[in-house]
Amino acid sequence: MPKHTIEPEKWIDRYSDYLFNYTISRVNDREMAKDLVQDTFVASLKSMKNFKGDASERTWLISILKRKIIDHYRRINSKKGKAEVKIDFTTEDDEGNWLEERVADPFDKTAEDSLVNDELGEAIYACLDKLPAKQAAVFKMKTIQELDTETICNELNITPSNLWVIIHRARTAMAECMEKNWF
Amino acid sequence: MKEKKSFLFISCDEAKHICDKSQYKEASFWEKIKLNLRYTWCKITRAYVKQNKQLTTMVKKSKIDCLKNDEREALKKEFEKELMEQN
Repeated sequence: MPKHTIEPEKWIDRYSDYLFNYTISRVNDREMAKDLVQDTFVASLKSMKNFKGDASERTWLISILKRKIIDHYRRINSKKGKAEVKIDFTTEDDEGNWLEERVADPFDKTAEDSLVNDELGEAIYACLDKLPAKQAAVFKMKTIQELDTETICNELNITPSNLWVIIHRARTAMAECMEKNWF
Repeated sequence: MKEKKSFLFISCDEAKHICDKSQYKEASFWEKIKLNLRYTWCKITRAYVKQNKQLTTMVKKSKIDCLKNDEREALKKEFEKELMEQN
């Protein structure tokens, strides 16, 4: 019997934010990220029979999303290749220069930083998963989307004191969850 | 009987509440003074402030993002169509 079950009707509520965060940190384009997440859900739905239940639903969805992101880059790279061909060296003697241009810049820490940010983002989402749905929703709206108190209260039909109680519980649980590895 | 609120001294729970508001820049100047006063002598408040600030820093550092509610709803609508077709 499979260890993990598949419940597509719950995918959007459970995983859309996590998949979106994973995608936006890699494609840096909100609209494109949304499209890729949607493509991932549709593709996953069509290949549900391939889900063996060995990995969690989330891991399985991410593996499909990763392929979608790679395809996206392949697509834009192949378009780029057709549009412009940049040749920086013309003779064999110039080859050294061409290679030198491509040596990694030791002062460029962006890749390393984004790796740490990725891990941190994953850890935050893992902790958010453990919160009750309402606490997670309020925490995301207030802390990640940075919406003001009034907007959230109107949207969720709660009072400001309700909101602060929920925020307090969410923050305490999140801090306890994150404390082990990140504080 | 309702407890009379002190002008300057606040309870630990109140301090935590101000600290939460402060993470979103929603604590008033006067509230911050009251929090700071309690911070000087209350170990629990100090521990909470430290932990709460760290959480704020971590979330900011991660540059984490999520879908807006209307974006999530749109995604849900589209996906539900696919689900219907599948069934």
